[in-house]
Amino acid sequence: MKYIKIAVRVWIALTSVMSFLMGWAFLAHSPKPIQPQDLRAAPLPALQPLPFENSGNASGGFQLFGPSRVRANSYPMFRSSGS
Amino acid sequence: MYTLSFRAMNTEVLLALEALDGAEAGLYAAENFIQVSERRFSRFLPESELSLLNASAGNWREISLDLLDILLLTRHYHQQTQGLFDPSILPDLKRAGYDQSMERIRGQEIGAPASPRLARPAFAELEIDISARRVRLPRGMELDLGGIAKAWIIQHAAQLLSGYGPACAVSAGGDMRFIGLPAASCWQVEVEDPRNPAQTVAHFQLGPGAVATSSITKRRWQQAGQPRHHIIDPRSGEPARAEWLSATVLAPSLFDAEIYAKVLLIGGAEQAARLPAGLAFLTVDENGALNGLRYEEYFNEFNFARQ
Repeated sequence: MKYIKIAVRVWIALTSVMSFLMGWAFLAHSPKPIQPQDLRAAPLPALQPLPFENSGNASGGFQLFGPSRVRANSYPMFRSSGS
Repeated sequence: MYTLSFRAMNTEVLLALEALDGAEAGLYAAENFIQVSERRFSRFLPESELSLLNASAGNWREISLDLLDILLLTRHYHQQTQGLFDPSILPDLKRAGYDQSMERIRGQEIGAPASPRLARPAFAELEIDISARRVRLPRGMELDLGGIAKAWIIQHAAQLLSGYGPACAVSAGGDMRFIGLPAASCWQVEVEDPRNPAQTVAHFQLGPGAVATSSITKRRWQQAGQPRHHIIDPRSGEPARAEWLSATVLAPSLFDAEIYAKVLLIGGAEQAARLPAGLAFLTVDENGALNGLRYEEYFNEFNFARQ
């Protein structure tokens, strides 16, 4: 019984050491993670500022889909051209 | 005053709205209404409500309240004009070569009609069941609601816009509706010279009301070497032999203006003498001469200038 206990302890110790060494070797050969200095080197996309709610259009609201087509015109001229 | 212009109903549309707040929302809502309505009442779109009604001739068909409204207006004006306004001339219009949209017809060589003119059902045979909201076109009848549907769309777009401000206007080609008075005190309207679109024959300063111009020079094409236009005389089934190149009517109601502008081109001076009270008109002939009735004193609380 005593010999069996010694054999189990030796087996546990050896497999632990082997597992540790295999993990070390695996991680040593894997690709390196991105380092902070690499992140600093990558160019950031330029973002446009969000429009203010009352900027550049007729009613005070802002257009979600492209620029406003509404124009301010003090004296619009209507033309009856026939149909 | 805020404006929005875009293309719809085969012409340039101009919306104007005077409002302290919400102008943009109102203008875009009116634009959307016009574009959706155009698709409902176009005879060139096979899935439009009008096309489906035409395809159902001979049978009762349930229709929308809006189309019912237009058809009741149509019947009213058909009676008022003793049949000179007749939206059932579509077979004659197609026979004259106007069987597809004007953009496609222009520049095409159109041959003579393949068959002689066939008798078609009278517009008075159209049956309308108001309570059940359904209509039955007699077999062989096809409707072209072009002008009156356009007037209906403009009228309702103007009403929609008027909910956003005290003064607004909707203009589409020859037809326009004004509600309220702008801060500048009146609406400025030019009437185009039908002989030369770059020139102007008259300049009105108007209050609330409507203006409509019909012209035989806008939608023209050649059929077997003959000049044709889209104003059909229902008595002959042929393009009208118009005395004038264009007729402009000023009226409190856009429907009156639209219908009587067309009737003046079809019926000429004889119809001008029968024009309902309260309407004014201005015609231009091929020499550029202006004729008309009451147009100088119409809306007489404002100045009138003639160029």
